[in-house]
Formats: sequence, structure tokens, C-alpha cells
Amino acid sequence: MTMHEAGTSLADIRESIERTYGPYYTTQTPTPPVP
Amino acid sequence: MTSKNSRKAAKRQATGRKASHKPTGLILGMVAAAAAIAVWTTAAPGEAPWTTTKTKTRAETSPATTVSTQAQVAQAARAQLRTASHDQARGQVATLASTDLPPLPMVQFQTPRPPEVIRSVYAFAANHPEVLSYVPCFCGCENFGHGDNHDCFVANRDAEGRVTWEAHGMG
Repeated sequence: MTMHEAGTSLADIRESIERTYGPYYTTQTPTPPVP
Repeated sequence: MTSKNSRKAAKRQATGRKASHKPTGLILGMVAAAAAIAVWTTAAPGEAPWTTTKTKTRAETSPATTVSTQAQVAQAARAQLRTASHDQARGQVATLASTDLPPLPMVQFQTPRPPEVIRSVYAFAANHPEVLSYVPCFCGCENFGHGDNHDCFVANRDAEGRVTWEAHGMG
């Protein structure tokens, strides 16, 4: 929400979230890639 | 004298036993007939009574089956929508102010963030499915059928875009 309101692109939001949380969790939702 | 009396008593006993069998059979027959009539009359018009009875019994005795069927249908619909356009899968999106959104789900635990933060996040999820639909969740909720972070907050949208909350996002 904060990133979106700051004008960050959807691809950057996705990339940032995966970089932040991905290494710590073994699974994630089967979310499709950003178009 | 004694043997005559005992013979009479034995005869009476035998007759009594015989007579007592008849009403029991009649009562059982009447009960069976009443049950059959009851089943027949509770059936919907134009429907076979055994079908109605079977359906009612399944629905009444095993709500878990109904819930599981609903969950399977919802999951299949979600999967189908996901393979189509992911944006369109969210349906109509009505941009609503926090005050126009339904009250947040009630939960039995202390939420990890203040209520105003949670309310604004839920409002964001309601108004921006085009963002959260492409954000993954890492909490393991894919096991509940969640496909993205949007599913953690919004369970459903109706035709007018009104949302039904998913309590998962509260904690």
C-alpha cells in the first residue's frame, strides 16, 4: 500500500516483496507474474 | 379338579398369547403404512419421494459435505478465473471510501496492528485488486486456496463491486 501510494510500479512492488520475504519462507501463493 | 383347572389355565394362556400377537402385527403394519405415507407426502410435486428424502437426509446430516462441495466449487472457479485475465477475475471494482466499506471481520485475538492501519489496508485491498492480485503471500495460505495477497483480505465481490471480507488479513 505504501509503495503503491509512493508511485512505485507494480513490477517493482512485486520484486521488492519477493526479495524481502522470499528467502525466509519456503512456500508462497501461486500468484501470476506481473503483466 | 386340579388337573381340570390347570388345563383351563393352560388353554386360557395359549388363547391369550395368540390374541396378543394379532394387535402387535396390526400396529406394526399401521406404523409402516404411516411412515410410507409420510415419505410420499413430503416429496415435492413431480419429484420421486425417494430422491427428495435422500437429498434432504444428505443436506441435513452432513453439512460438511455441502461445505466441502462449496469449497471445491469456489476453488475451481478461482482457478478458472486465474487462468483467464487476472484483472478481470476480480470483477467489478467499486472505489469506496473506508466509511462505505462493510465493517471489518470480528476476530478473537489482538490484531498485530492498530485498527486504523488494518482498516486502511482492507480498504486498499478492496479498492486496488489490480495491485494485490499480483502480490504473493508467504504465510502458507495457498493451502486454504488463496492465490495472492488480495485473497487474504477480500473473499468475494458481488456484481456491484461490494466486497465480502476475508478475516485472514486481520492477523
